[in-house]
Amino acid sequence: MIRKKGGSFLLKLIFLLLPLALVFSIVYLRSSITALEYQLGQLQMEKLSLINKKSELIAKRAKATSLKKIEMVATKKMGLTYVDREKVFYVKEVAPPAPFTAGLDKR
Amino acid sequence: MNKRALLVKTTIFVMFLVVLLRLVDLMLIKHAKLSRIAHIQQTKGQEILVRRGIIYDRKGRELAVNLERPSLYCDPKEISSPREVAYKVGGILKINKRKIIKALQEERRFVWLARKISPEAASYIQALRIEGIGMLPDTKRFYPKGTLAAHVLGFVNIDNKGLEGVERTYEEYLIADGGRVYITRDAKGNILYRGGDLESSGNSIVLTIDEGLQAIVEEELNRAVQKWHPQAATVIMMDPDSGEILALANRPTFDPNRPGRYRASFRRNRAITDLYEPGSTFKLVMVTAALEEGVATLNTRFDCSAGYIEVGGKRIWDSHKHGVLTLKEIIEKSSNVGAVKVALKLGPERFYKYVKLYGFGEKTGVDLIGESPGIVKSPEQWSATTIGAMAIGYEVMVTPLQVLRAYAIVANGGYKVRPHVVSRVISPEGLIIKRNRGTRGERIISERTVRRIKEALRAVVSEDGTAPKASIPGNTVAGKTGTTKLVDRSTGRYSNKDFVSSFVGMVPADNPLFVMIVVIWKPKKRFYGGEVAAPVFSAIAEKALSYMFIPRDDRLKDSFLYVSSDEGQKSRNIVVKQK
Repeated sequence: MIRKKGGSFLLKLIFLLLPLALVFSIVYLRSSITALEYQLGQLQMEKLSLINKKSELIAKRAKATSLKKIEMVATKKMGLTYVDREKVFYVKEVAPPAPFTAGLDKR
Repeated sequence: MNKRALLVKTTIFVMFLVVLLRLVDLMLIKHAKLSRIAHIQQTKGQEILVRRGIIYDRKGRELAVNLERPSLYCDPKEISSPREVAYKVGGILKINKRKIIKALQEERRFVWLARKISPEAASYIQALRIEGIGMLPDTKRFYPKGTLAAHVLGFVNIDNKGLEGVERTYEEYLIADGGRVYITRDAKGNILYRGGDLESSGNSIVLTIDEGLQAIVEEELNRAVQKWHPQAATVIMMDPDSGEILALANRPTFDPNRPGRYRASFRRNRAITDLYEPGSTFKLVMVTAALEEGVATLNTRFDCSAGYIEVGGKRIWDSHKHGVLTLKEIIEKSSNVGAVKVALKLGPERFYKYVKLYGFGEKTGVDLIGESPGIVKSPEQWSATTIGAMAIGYEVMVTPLQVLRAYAIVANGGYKVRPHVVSRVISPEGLIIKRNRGTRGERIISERTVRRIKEALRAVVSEDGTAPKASIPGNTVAGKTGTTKLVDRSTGRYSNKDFVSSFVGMVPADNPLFVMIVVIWKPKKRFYGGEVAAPVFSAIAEKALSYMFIPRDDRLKDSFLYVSSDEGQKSRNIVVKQK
């Protein structure tokens, strides 16, 4: 069998570059995974700090919106009083009227 | 190929070979050893930050939350100059420096210096970079509403373990698994994520308590304490149908953020732990038994004109002579003589049957720690005076919650009910993992009897009754007063100056939305339940009805605006019709 010189060179080149490409792609993948791990680590820390901040804010909000405190401010600082129950109207929703029908059936 | 080129090629080949051999050495031969060393250097164990679940009121308002407060520890073996460290750390934390020096000189390798320090102090100390001092993530339980509902919530210890209240009863739900997580770090301390969470949360709890009603109850209770200067006071408000406790407050009270600063008696939940003789509020048992057993009707007359009655050689007196009274009037005027006469007609066995039917002498099953079952003697243990004493609420020890539950049975139409303070338990993912349904129990009193009892209890709050001060303008109230003498421990006899005043009632009387008990121990100046406890009931109930948007009974017809909405159109047309 006769082989052409050019073809043999190409094969050599492929055999040389393929392992190199494999090695580089493995290194690239590994470094990408590590970079992702860094990113996830940072995000995890960020999540932790945001959860902590959220807890602090929940506590602050709960303290600030205490009904006891609101009542004290309303009655003592703003001079509001409890409503006179005789003057209160309660709004109740009722079903809408049935559509008009021309038939003999009762509406 | 010339010599020089061969030399260069050989040198490069040898160098590559050396590198290759070194790589083989590092990556294959010494791999296990080196990777072990790298693992030790790169990984670091860290305590998982464990958060207790949040406690909410019935409308989702936070009553107990967590704050991140790291704890400071030291390894005394690594501290070179304890005095210098104590000076620096003590200055920031404002702690006694001697205490820190003592801790820094201990023989152990781990000593707490300060628990749950502020984030500012933590960052100052971290910036000092002191060898041998470290910080662990920690959380601090925080009760943003201060003393509000303190006896229901309870409190935790320094290690976040529930000690009282819901914190203790629902400990297994509130806590989360902790432990350590191993994280990988590089030389600069950056974290590489390798799975695992750095924090975990317990399940949250939704209470049946309403913050608004609780605030109303506490405010009025404070007012009563200022007026009567009692030894203690308790108020419980409950939905009679479901058994949901809407508000529960005791005085004296405490701040769950600093429980250690208060005496144990301040932290005690008197509503479920303290026993007292219920006095006339116990006449409910007598009237129920009489009506159910057919011994009397509301109109049956009893001669109470003597003003006293002898039972077992002891005289039981009325506050004043009443004359001939019907059963309804016995309740209305709270006649002791009348109550004893009815009880004698019933006999011990039948009377005792209804004492047990109402659940006296047994725990109510409320989901709070430390409940007392009370003390009820069985007829075999009764003396000759017992039936007379029990008819008027003596020789029987009950908790305020037991009395409230008995009246709740009347309020809900005669069904057994289990009081509870927790409505549901919710996982961090938002799933309901436990629900306390307010299911009605078996019927224990007939509907007819319930109607009659309510009629008699309504009369108590009338102008001729013992508690007109419990009435609410515009709404009907049904209830019963109680005034009991306390035993003087020095003499062993009933005192003439120490009393327990109480009022238990339901509003609106026909279809009660809540039942409430007010118990005031040892009030000063006045002592009758109708004078001391009834006004507290009225003040709380009126505000509560307003808060709950309950219209006045006398304005039911003209206090509603009926609106109809047309669902067919995009924008809602609201037509106001006044009936």
